[in-house]
Amino acid sequence: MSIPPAEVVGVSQGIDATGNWRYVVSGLQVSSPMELPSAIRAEDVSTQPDVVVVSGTVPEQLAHAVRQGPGWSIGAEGFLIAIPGVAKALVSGGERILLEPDAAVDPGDLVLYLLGTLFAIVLHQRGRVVLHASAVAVGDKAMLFCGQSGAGKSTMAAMLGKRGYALLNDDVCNLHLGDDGVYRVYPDGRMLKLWAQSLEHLEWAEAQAIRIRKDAAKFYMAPRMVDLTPRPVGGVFILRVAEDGVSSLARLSNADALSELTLNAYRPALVRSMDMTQAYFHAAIGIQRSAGVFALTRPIDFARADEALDLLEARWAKAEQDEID
Amino acid sequence: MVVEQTLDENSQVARGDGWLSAWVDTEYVMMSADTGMCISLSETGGRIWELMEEPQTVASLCDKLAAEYDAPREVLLEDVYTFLGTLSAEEAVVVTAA
Repeated sequence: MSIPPAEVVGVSQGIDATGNWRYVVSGLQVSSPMELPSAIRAEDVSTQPDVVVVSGTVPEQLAHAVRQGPGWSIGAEGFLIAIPGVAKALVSGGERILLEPDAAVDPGDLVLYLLGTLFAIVLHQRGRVVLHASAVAVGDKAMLFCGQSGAGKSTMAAMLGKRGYALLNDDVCNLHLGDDGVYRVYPDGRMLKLWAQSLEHLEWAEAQAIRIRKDAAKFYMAPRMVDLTPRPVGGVFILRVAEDGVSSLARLSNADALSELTLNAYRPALVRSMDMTQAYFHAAIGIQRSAGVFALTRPIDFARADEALDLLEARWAKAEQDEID
Repeated sequence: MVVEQTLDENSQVARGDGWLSAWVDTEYVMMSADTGMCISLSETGGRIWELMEEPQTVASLCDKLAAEYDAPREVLLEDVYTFLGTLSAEEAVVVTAA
């Protein structure tokens, strides 16, 4: 008589040997004790994670802070930050987030904060440049859409998704300077954060979407296609509202391009506090030289959204033709 | 700001602190790390900025330019006054009287 072989016959999807959830965020393997509903689950959970989120007690202050401001300080131990009512955190070496959530925090808010500000600190500690932008894949390039909250970044990415372009990033775009001098976007395929009226225009049902917070009419929506290949920046498009109702697309001067890209840093205060201004300057110069920064001006009117999309596609077709010639 | 009137050949000129700069094709692009102000200079303007690596007098700066550009010295001097006046208004250049 034999006994059945002793083997692991199943592991629940996306959970690693330590019992943590595993995700891919900005090209990095992330291990988290809490579920991050908007992030992409890692397919392979056996590799060493790049970033580990740990729940625990965060110190009140650092032993030797070298810089500090209201609610934050930086020292040898890392970046200590506290947001009242949300969480305290210590982010170290671009690889560890020690997190102490506030007892009363909305779980949705905690995930937004972790994947937003805290992850931006991780990326800065790794020397990356983080822009407030959404991005789609066009051929082998990444096209970025910048603008303040409400400028239509996610909606633009979603509309381009409907035209068949894969989503690379929503809201946060991190750029990595390769040894070859090329800035590449590391996609994370996060779900799109869309307002209810955008969902309606895109004919996506609210039922399929996950409400971000209990009280906001904004939803996470899984994109139709996700692509995790890092891609060189092919262009940055600054979204502007056409006061005169005319859609247009124009390349910005060098000074304006530099100004717009540095203004569209994901967290300008972090750029200053982490002494990253030079890295952003060089990224802006590199992108303006190799790809260009453009102003995409269009009326805020879903009925006329195709005008801006047509201008973009004409521009991309021309750039592709120029490269062949 | 009435800076140009205080400039003469003996004025000491120096780069302001905290400016990042790089060439983009034939333009020289600068950004203040403190204020975020961005300025784009012509090719000649960029060359003047490069020649200002060390603090010096306007006369010394003009001598260097005269060696590189085929123009009468008085023409160069006028151009340099205008250029330095504009940049000092943006605090990219610091002028101290002789």
